[in-house]
Formats: sequence, structure tokens, C-alpha cells
Amino acid sequence: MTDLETDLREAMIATVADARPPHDLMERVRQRRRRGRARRLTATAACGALIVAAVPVGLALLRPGGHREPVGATTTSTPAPSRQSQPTHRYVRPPPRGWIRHRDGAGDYIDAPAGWHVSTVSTLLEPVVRWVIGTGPVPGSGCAPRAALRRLPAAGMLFQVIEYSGVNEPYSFPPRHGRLTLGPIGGPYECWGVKTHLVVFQDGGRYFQVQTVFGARAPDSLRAQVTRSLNTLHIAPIPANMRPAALCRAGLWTYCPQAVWVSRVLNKAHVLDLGNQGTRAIVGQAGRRSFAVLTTRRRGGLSAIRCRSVSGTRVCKTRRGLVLRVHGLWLWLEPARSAYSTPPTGPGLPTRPALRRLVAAARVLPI
Amino acid sequence: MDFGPERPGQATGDAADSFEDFVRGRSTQLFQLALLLSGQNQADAEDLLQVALERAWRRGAAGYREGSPEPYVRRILVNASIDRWRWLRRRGEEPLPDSDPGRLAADPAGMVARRDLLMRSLAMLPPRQRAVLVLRYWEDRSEAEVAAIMGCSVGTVKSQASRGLARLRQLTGALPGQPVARRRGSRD
Repeated sequence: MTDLETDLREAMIATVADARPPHDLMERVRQRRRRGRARRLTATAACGALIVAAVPVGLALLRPGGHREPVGATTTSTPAPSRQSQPTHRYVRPPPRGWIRHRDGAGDYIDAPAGWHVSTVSTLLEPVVRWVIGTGPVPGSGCAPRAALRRLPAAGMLFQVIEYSGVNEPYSFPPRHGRLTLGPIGGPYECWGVKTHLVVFQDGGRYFQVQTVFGARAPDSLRAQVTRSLNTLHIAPIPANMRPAALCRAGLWTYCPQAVWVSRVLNKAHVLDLGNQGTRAIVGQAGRRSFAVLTTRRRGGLSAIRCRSVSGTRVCKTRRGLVLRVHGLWLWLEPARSAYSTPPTGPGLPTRPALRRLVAAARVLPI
Repeated sequence: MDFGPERPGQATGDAADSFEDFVRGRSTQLFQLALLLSGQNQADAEDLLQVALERAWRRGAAGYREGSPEPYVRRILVNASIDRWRWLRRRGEEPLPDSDPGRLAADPAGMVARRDLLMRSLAMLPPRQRAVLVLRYWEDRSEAEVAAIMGCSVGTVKSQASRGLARLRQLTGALPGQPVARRRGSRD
């Protein structure tokens, strides 16, 4: 085997080693099957109708002395097609004059001025780079367009839209409401190596992140154009049964609005968010202790052993941890293990100061 | 895996369950194959795999005589990828995306850069050549097996593999960052 063959084999193995099919593959296959069956049935029905309509005409033609009705006579007696049988076209706003629509083939698109450079080449499988758009060339890249970044003109800009196909912490992606902004400047971020604007959001049940960098002398008009371009971003929604609301209804708590609230409470209380405990709770860390934080609508029949007031709120001790009632919900704190904390933590309840901060934050922040 | 007796196009409950078991068990391997066949385009790979699985499921037991649907799904996957790319090829061949020359020169992990270039070059190959190389080197199949999957002769497999490797050598031999000449309607 030549070097090239060996290299090719290794490259292929390494490239797809971590690739996994979509988690709802079987459901998608099922949907495709249903659609195919409906299409075949429609085609069969159409063929049948055609045959039924054609047979009398054929017989009339074959009949001795038979003649065809003038075409006009038959068409006038044909009822007007019903509204349902007409194709329905949803109006899609065209791109602004001088702008180009960049489609990804899956129903998503973004508009950008004609002079801008656009790349849809993603060498990442997760997350996937959807678009890299810049005022200068945007060569293919890994998790950030570093080559383009090095050549970024002082009056230029560069932004990247990436999509996370599956996120562990959906609550950290706020729903896209109203107008998208560039987001605050933060970082330097791991992939880009520089400070960037960053905004994350969920749209149609999908999770996106946009990072933008401007040259030192980029005019305000360019910032306005980028914002305008971002707001042309059209996302094809995933099926309703896969969206966060449906997943929340199915009992996956981390997809519920309450999880968004708990995440904000942890943040405000300066309690470290260590990620999820499955889809049941978010794990927080205070000092060397880690604990699960979750909410329920009902108290769940657990009897409190003793209660005391913390920051003006009654906090009760149960067999599993602490519970308090806030905004009509029960907020639970339970000792929990986390594999992700550095330095390692042990399961335990928050210390008194941390608990005070948590309770205060929970009272202040509305759901 | 027993798929039970069933009429073509009619999936019984048991057969549907068995098919789901098959998808659960083998989808990762099949998805990886689809990913390589589609030139590492995730959306195309998902689409290809869904097409192959749906077709296999629809055909039911009539489609695969060996008992397991895997060879049948694999064959559909390869043929569908070739058909699909034959259609898409009307767009014309795209230039090899520019890579990052500075990084290639400075990065001590040159192997990573070479792999990247190789995979991007593989994605540029005509679909039939790519399918032969993927089956031959990623799946470690013999030329006879590849020929059986693709429904062609062993000689065709040899010639496609040879042309594919030659083209890869040509593409990866180009200077990093230098775009490959644009060609339209190349033959596979």
C-alpha cells in the first residue's frame, strides 16, 4: 500500500470517527416514508382519474359516426378548480436591492450585500459552520475563520453563523425575539483567539451562535449593514414535536422555561453552573460542594423536617435536600455529583452565604 | 436478524420493530459511510441515509435476500450518492476551498493539515471514484466486494480506484492555498 493510500485510510477514519447520525433518524425515516406513501397514493389516484375520464372519450371516438364535442363546450362545463387544489405559495420577501440571498439547500438563507464574500464550507461536524461572511475573502476554516481574520482590513468585518445540532444546555440559548443584535463584545474566544461580538439564540427549535469582528476603522454604516444582514437570517423550523416546548411537555425539564430561569438565578447568585444532571436538573457549584437545582409545580408529597427563614423566604429541609416556594414553583436543591468540576467537588448543599444569594436571586428574578 | 415474512411494501409490526433495531444498531456506521460518500457534507449525508433506509424499509424483505438489510442499504447508499452527485454535478466543479498556508507551514501537527487537505480533495472527486476509494480503504473491502456493491466489474473498480488515487495525488500535490483549475462536466 502506498503512502497516499495509508494516509487516505487514516484521514477517513479520523474524520468520521466521531460522526453520529441525528438522534431522531428513525423518526425522519418514518416521516419520509409517510410522505412517499402519500405521494404515491396521489399519483395513483390521478392516474385512475385520468383513465376514468379518458375511457368515455375514447369510446365516443370509436363509436361509428361519433364526434367530439367542441373543446369549448367541455371546458365551459368544467367546474372551476377548488381553492384547495390550487398550489399555495407563501410570500417570501425578496432580498434588498443589490443584495444576494445565500441558501444552504435545507431551507435556511441569509441575505448579504453583493460585494461581500460568503462561504458555507464547514470542516466541523459539530457545531456546523453555516455561513462565514466577510467584506474580504473567507477561505474554508475550522471552528473560526482564522485565515480571513488575519487578512481582515481595518475597515472590514467578518462574521460567522454556526449551528449546534444538539445542545446540552438549551436554556442558555434565548428564543429569537424581535430584532437580532450583534451581541456584547467578549472573549478572547477559544477558536477565534480575539475578542468578538457574540450572540446566541434559538429559532424554530434550533440553536445558533453568531460571532462578529470588525476592523479597527470599520464605519458605523458597516455595523448597521451586518445587523441588517443578520436579521434576514431565515431558519427552517424543525418539526413541532422536536421543539423545546414539546420536549418540555414530554418531561425533559432542561428544555422548559423554568430551566432558563434557574440558569439566570445561578448566574445572578454567582453560583457556578456545572451543566446538566441529565434532563432533570442543572448542577450548581458553590465552594467545593455541588448540588442539583430544579423546579416542580407541586411539592411532590415530601414532608419537610424543619424550616427556617433565609433572606425573608421560608426554606425547608427535606430528606433529599432543601426546598422553597418562589413565583408559584417549588425550587429544589439536592446534593449531586458532577464529573465536570475542576477542582473536584463533592455532593453537598450550598453554604449559607451561597444559599442566601440563591434565595435572593430567585426572589428578584421573574420567570 | 430476522425480519419475518412480509409482503413487499407492507411492514408488519414485528418487521418494523426489527428494522428499528437494525437502524439503532447500525446507523452510526452507515452514517459515517454516507458522510464520506457525500464529501463530508452533513446535510447531504443525513439525506442520503434517510433515502437509503426509507427505500430499504419500503421494499421490506423482498429487497434483501441475505437476511440482514445492511448490504442492501449499503448498496442503495452508494448508488444514491452516485446518482445524486451526477445530478448535482451540473453545477460544475467547485475550486478546492482555499486553505490556510500560514497555518500549514507553522503548525507542528502537519498531519492534521494533510488530512484536512486529503479529505477536501476526496470530496472533489467524481462520486464513483470517491465511492470506490471509500469502500476500498475505509471499509477495507476487496475489489470483488466493491464491484458487487457497486454493480460493476472488477476491472472498473480497479480503473476507478487508480484514477481516483491519481487525481488525489494531483490535488494534494498542489501548493496549499492554490485553487485547482475550474473544470466543468468532468467525467467519472
